[in-house]
Amino acid sequence: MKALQLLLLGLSLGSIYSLIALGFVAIYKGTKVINMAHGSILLTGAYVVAMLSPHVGFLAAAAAGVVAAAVGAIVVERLVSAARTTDHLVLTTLTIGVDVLLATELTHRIGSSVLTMGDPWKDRQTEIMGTVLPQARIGATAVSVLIIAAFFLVFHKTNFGVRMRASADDPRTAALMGIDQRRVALASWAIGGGLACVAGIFLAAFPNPGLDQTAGLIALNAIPAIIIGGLDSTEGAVLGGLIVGVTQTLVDGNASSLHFLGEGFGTVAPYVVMLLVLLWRPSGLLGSKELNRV
Amino acid sequence: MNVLRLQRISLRFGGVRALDDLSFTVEPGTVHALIGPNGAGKSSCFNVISGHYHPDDGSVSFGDEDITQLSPHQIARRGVGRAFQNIALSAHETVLDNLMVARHRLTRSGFVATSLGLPRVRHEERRHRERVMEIARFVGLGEKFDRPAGALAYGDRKRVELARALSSEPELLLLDEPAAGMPTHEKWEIAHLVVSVRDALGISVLLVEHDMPMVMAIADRVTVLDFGRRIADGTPTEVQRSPEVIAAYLGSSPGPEEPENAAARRTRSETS
Amino acid sequence: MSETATDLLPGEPKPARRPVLNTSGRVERLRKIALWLSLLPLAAVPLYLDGSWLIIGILGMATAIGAIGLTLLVGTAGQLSLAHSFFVAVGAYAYAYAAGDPAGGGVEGLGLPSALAALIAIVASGLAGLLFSPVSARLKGVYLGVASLALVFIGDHVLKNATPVTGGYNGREVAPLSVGGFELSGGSPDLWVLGVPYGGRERLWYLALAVLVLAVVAASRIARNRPGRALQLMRDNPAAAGSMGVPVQRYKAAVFTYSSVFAGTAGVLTALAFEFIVPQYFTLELSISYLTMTIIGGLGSVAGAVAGGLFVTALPLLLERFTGSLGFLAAPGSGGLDAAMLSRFAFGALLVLVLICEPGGLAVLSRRLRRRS
Repeated sequence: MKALQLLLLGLSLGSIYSLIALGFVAIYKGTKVINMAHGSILLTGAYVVAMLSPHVGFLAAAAAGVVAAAVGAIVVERLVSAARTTDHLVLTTLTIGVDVLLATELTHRIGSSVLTMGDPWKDRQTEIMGTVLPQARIGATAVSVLIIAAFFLVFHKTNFGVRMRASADDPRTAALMGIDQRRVALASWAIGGGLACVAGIFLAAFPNPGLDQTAGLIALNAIPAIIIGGLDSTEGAVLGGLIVGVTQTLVDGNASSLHFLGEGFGTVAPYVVMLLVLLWRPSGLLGSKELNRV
Repeated sequence: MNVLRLQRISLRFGGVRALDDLSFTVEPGTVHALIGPNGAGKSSCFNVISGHYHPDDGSVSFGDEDITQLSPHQIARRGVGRAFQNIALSAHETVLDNLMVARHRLTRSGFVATSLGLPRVRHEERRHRERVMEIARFVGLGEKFDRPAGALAYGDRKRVELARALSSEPELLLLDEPAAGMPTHEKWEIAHLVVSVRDALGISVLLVEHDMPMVMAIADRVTVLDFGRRIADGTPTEVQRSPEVIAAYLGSSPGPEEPENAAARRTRSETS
Repeated sequence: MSETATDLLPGEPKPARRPVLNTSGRVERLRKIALWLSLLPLAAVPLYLDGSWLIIGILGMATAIGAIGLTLLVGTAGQLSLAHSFFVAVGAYAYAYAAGDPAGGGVEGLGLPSALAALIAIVASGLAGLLFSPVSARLKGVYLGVASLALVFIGDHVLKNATPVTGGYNGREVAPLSVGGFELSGGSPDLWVLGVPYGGRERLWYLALAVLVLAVVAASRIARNRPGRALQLMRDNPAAAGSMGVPVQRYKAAVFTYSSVFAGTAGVLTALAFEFIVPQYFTLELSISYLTMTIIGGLGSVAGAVAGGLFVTALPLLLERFTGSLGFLAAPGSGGLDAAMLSRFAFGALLVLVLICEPGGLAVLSRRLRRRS
């Protein structure tokens, strides 16, 4: 039963990571930039939720947080597009600069306090199939599945999704066909930011104690997810997120027998998996192999 | 001198056949033109020869050696040079540095020797710099060695691209539209240059070019591609008479026009 | 472009007119002499400044060495790395372990002569870089950058858990470097120069300066010669680099290894300056600091990396020193805007501003100023 419990816990954590990873990939597909400020944007959203929740209630606060994170992401996008270069290395580095600014401010504001979201699930647990699961995680899984399903529906079935995919695959042709690159870029960043905030809310919920000032680093756990899955694959992001969540939970859950690997190996294990995947398939499990354009 | 031989090359991208059972031979000391409408597979063919793509079927040999599965740098080391169509220079670096990089296969200095500043590194550098300057003058770049490549006019950048390929001292030179986008008089300068590459330097040239008068004037042999297949192969005059070529260049019905003019007209309409 | 192709055949040399190359050669030589002369006042610094000032310079120079390695990797070769702090850590800990006293309290050591230990540490960081080559050879640009994050987190985990070697959370002591009984980072035997006592920091200043000069010379040679040209083309057009005979994968692995040697050297010097190392120093934040230095200095510019390294290292330390006299700064840990925070804001803002306004960084700015004057 313990194995099943860990697996379910891992999948639920993984579904949260999937949301972050999906945001990374949406932004990458939209603008070919890896948003290194993603962690700070997640924390910005979570901070807004934590501040507002006691006053306006959880749902309103969550909505405000999602909007704040989306706006934050759009600000980063505007900065990125202000740079007069298309060099993705420069643009990605620029997002590191934004991250330093945001993280410094947030660290200062949050100080030593722990952000709690005031979510309705609190620390209640439910028994399913002989395992005990926190209700917050069940909620997280349900919400993630809904959001991911909606994302894929929009991405594959709507006009807007077709435009996004077209610009991701071939920006120049898409531009020629009258697809507004700027709108696609803004939309992908806003979606990425919003997804990060939702993930942040669930990361703060039980069984975790809440988010402290270092929580921006947790968003980096989505980095192994996107590399395992493949940087340009939305399906890969979801798969990668689940793999990271399960790996981390399984390792943490068996910490006593894995003691020889050192304390807190759970947070490192996803990176080890990522390196192994890279050795095997440099473009990730579902990523498309890059053709050397000549 | 080595013969380049393509035998029954097929290359697919997904469902698209970029090259279909393509064979031809480039004899040493000749200018061999590869022509065909846009999308006929000329660039794919170059990419297969220079090792950027590996074909799904067939083989490429240079001299006695099968080079089908080798990587680009291994093929370059065997004396196959390449000038790119879309000017693949380091825009911020000087003309001299852009040319010197092509000496890579002819030079030895690695990270350690260079860091230590060994005398042989400096000697090697000086020797090769002189030769590269000679080549730059040969292609008509004059003395623009210290200018960043990106600051040069378009025609000069095309010449740097050509000079760089020559700087690797190739036995066989792949030239991808060396005169594209140039005004007519400059095009003919390049044509002269290609001929002197063959005659004065003794280098075989495989040339992709849209300008038919130029191709017909300087090529010893012509291979015509359409939809990845070879539809003709022979001397310029033979190729011009081939009904398949006329059909490919004019659509299905061969018109009353001379094929050479037709081809030239097509080129004009493509570039306009 | 009046010359036609035919009158440029080999064997018909054009009349030599290359004043361009000649003057630039002379300017180059004058600049070189000026640079070497500027070392003289730097060599005299320990006569005038006390240890608490010298340490800022020593750390700045040590960091500049690491930044030079990173600017070759990121700027010249276009390969992003966020793992630089990992290789700095390998250098620092490998030295501390190799030179450490085998009988030291709780933490192991090999007890090797410290000069040999320093050499081993630098080689070890190079080997660590080489070991990463299955990844560094196959990934390019930004993708390598995010993949290299793995090394930072795995490295951090090892530093905190391999307690016998690293001292775990509490860190470990670093033995001073000595050559033939003469300490280069300690005070024994006593030494006075022009009436000034030369202790550990005075001596380490010279060591750091000498190594920095070597690093600048070596990296400039790389950037200007065969390996640098191959790296630049690999950055600008990997396909063309291949067709010019550059083994692209091997060069990616080679420049990654080369840059980790610089990082390791920076690590040894940093460890000697700190005299005690803890894992909390070698974090992602350090990698980002290194990246900031190379960006501010101008990607690919060796001189820029030195300037950036000195600036990024010195700013928080100087601000901290002047906290008392700068009214707007709060004392560290008081919850207000302190020196560390202000410098973080400055670095973040500089990163964003430089990349938006002048992606060439200081190097391009100074070139432009010189041209105007």
